[in-house]
Amino acid sequence: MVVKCPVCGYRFDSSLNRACKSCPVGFDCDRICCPNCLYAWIESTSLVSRILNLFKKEKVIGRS
Amino acid sequence: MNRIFAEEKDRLINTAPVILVGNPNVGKSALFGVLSGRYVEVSNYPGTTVDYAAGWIRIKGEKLRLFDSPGADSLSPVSEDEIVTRDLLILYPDSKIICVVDSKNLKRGLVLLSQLAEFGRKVVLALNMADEAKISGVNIDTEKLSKILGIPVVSTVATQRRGIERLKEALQHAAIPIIPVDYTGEISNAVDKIENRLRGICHGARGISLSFLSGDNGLPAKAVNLLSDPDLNRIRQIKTRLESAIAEPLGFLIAKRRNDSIKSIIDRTVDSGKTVGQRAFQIIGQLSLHPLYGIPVLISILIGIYYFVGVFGAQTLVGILEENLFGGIINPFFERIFGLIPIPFIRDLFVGEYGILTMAITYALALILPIVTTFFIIFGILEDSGYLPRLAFMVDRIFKKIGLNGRAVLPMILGLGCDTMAVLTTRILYSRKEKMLVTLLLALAVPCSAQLGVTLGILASISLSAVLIWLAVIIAVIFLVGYLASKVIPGRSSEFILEIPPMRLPKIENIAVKTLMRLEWYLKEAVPLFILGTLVLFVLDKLNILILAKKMFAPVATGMLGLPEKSAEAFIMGFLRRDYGAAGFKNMFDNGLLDPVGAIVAMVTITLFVPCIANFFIIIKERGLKTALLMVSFIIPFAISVGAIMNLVLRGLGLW
Repeated sequence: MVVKCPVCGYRFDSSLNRACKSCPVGFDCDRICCPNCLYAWIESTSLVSRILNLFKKEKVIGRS
Repeated sequence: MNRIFAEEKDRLINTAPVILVGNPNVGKSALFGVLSGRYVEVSNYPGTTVDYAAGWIRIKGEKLRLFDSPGADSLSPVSEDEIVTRDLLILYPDSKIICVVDSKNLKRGLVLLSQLAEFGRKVVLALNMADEAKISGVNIDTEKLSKILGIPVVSTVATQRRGIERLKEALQHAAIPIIPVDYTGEISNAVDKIENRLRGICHGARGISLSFLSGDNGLPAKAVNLLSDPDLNRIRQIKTRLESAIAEPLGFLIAKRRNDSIKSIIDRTVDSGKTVGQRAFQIIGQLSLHPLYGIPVLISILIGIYYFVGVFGAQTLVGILEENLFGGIINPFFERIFGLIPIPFIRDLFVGEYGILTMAITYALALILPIVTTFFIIFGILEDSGYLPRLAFMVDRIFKKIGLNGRAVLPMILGLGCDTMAVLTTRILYSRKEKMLVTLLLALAVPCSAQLGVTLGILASISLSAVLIWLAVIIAVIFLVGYLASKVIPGRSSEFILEIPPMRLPKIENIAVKTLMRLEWYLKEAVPLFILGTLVLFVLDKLNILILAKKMFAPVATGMLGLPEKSAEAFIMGFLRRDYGAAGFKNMFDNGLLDPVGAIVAMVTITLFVPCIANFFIIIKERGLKTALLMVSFIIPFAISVGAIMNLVLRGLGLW
């Protein structure tokens, strides 16, 4: 998923920049990390995403 | 008959096609459906899982192939969809392009259009969703836009088949857009050099050069196959040299130059018809970047945080949850249940003084959760409104005034997101000395968002002046250490590159989702550490080491800091997470064990402690065990010294 950093505006593929890859604690904390400024934030979490999916009326198929 | 049909099909397939290119969710597929009729093939692009649709379009009796490329925001690809779109353009160099944009967000579409211009493609611009733009009050001067860009511009509403015939007609006049972008200096030279090597080998050499320089996915396969090995190596060398000469990511710098050019086109052709609220936000956005007027904006935000987090979160909500729900119902219930267990060890483990339920869970859910929830809401608003980049810009400016170079400022701003991750940012600094000082500064004085929320909330429950005193001390420490750092490490000055987005009204659903996600992360990360911290205290208590620790710490706690002996517990908890330690002090303050001066001293001291155990681990990882231990051996006495001075000054002044 392409995301935009809320601090510096850099666009990047979030799947390549999971913050936890560099974290010494080593568990998946759902944070992603901007390669430009290294600001780390949460873009999606499994539990909240699942809850949000319940409220979606229908699954959208298609690209645009 | 079949042979004739096959020949006709081959002829059509070999004709230059029309390709629909556009950002995701701009109604491109709807437009494709209208232009192509019913016949649609959906295929996988070779070597990928990305599918694209193909059909036919009839223009003045001529039948042409029509492709619907995957949605892309950029032709400097960062996703598989974008790679496929770029490669489709390279595969069909003579194709005509319909660039589909959302009329409500012309800027996003023009970024893509400027790249199509760099690829040297003939384009027609379709301003789709024109009806929605009109409702939103966005008016685009299409004639003027067409004149500036030098290409046909057509307003369309694909879902209502509006503008379709004019779009087909305009395709015959498709032209290369004129969007001059000034890349200047080293980037411009590198682009020219790569372009020279690609010219004659593949179409769109300038676009490919820029895409290669700004993307992470290398050159397109077609270019790689056609280039000689020496040329290929030379091109890669040009990029590597440019990357080492320029500190910031090339992709970001190139995108920024494009955005600057596009902004001037938008200013001349779009009337955004903003509402009063939107205009007010725009003015606030401009003020917040001003060196003088930015300060009252920041103070207003701090006052907002004080009332929402400090008064509503830390007092009202904590009061309801801690006293009424946990103190009155939940904990007495569990105490009765565990009271039935005849083994005191088990009983104490869950509902004792250092019990998992009565301490860890109560602190996490009744004390900290309401504070971080209110703080995360505010943080989400700041993020969604576009204020964070403005704050970073202001801090950068202030730090530059004391002589600290831009690169050293960056980690400290980012520490507000997560200190642990911010330590990693120090990799972008040049010297070892520089890295050490910034790591130290981060560990010492920059609280992460959760810790900032809890500390502010707890201080605000004392008084506004308590918040201001704490803030003044922390800022003074950052400035003092920052100033010393600038003297020790002059470093070479470098720019902190930011894209300042327009200030906008935050969307409630965005804030709600962000807050929920942060809360889920917080509970997953913090609660296990709270339980671990409580277990450490429980074990120390059972082994009578806690009493010993309190006695050993007594001269410091009572003598220097003016705190009760029990504060040793909060400092032990604070080493696992600063906010957990802060919660311990809050509990002591609520139970009358701390006076307001003691609470402020405790909060300043705990803020200057190592942020959390993860931060300590990453210091070991990045700087080594010896350096990490040295830092901790500096941080702890420094934190206590500042706390001791605060104790003397505040009690001497007799403010409370």
